[in-house]
Amino acid sequence: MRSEGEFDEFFTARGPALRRLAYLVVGDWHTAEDVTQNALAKLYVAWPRVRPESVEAYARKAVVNEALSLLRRRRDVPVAQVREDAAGAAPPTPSGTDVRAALAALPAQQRAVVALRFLDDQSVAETARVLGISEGTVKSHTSRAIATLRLHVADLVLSEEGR
Amino acid sequence: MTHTDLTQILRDHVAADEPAFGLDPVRVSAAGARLRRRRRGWQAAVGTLAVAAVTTTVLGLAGTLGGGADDGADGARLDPATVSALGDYDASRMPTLLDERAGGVLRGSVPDLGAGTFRATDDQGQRIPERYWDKASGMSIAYGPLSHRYEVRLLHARSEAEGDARRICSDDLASGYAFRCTVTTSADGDTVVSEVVAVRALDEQMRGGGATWDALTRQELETGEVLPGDPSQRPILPEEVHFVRSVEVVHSETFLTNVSETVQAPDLASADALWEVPVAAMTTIATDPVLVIPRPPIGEGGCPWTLPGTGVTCSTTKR
Repeated sequence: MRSEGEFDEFFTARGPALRRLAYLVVGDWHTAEDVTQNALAKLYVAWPRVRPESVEAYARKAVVNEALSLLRRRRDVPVAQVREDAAGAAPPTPSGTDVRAALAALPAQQRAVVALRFLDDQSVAETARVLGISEGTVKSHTSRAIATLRLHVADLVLSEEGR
Repeated sequence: MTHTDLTQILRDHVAADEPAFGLDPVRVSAAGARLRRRRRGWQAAVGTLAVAAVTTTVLGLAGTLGGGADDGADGARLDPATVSALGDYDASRMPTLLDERAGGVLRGSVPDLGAGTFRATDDQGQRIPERYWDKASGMSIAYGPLSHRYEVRLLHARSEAEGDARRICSDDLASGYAFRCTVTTSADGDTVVSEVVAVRALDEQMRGGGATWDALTRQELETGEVLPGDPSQRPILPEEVHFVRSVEVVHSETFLTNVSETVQAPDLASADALWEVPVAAMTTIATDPVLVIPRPPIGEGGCPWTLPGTGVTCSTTKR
């Protein structure tokens, strides 16, 4: 059985990164911290039976699931109110505010895809596994997300080339 | 702009206003322990308010049945009715069976019980559609609103079924999680544990979904504060507090039955005046040999089955 000391080590090493992942999905740090705490609490419960090589993936999945579940329940959060179709948005400028607005313009699952692939640098296959969707869906979510992000972030001419 | 560029934009965005990491492993471990306790039997079902619980646990031959009751392999130790029920098991009939047998007993005390709400869940506690019911780790039926609720749960969960009842009771009393906790033995030789605990949602924002309930200690209820001095914890509101009285039977290493009555009350004395279903009636349900579900199949990751795409990987495959 794996020890609580090992849990503490994992927590210290990976907690901040997991909170960043949550932040990109939910859009504010306070909620991201709540999400991370709940996800890590669940990881704590499962800790004795999760293989060491799977802990990272388990934690990532727990955070994303927790974040998406929260957003499904909280219909009134700002990020959920922004429509995917942001064609009418004001011309973007390259600022942090625009990045936030760009992310807010994405549906929650697209944000999760972006967070996993571009912040956490996960592969299409791993992203699909974490989200429980097909690799094709990950690719289509990525393409749509990039198209939306382009509307908000100046100079963002990102393509799927090279991925 | 390349993939790397977007990665940098996102990292810059995250780093721009990232506050200091406020979580600490002790607090999260405590939350995990609370979650584990909640799962061990006095979970407050579904709702939006915090719960304080009174639990009576009956451990039917715990530690000697092994993994038998859940799969029928140890049929010689099982009630013939259980063996028969497992042999004739039809997941689609479980809502009706639960309502007839459990609801029938409850209606003896609560004539206006109303219609029950059936729920089947996977090993991660996620609700599953009917086409997967035969793979369920848990099934339950609930009656009434959370303010006065009755629930019967059939559950396969090794982490909740295992453990010495007397030690758990003693630990819960010592830690303050148990408001009352006594262990007795029934006429049939079953170990009976009566316990009072308090729980609420892990955080306010999660309460809307009622998905994650948190245990409260006696001290926390008395002071109205969870983890005093921790600014991330909101005060306990009296109207959030509910009490649950339940009877639980652990049938094997993984399978247990839990019967509970939940009442909204600010303190235990108030709750004691509200119970409708006698413990004896709940015990009748919890020991009903027909109310069983087979052990769920093993999923791809070596854990009990979960909804596709949500599985986890387990290092322990002993069942």
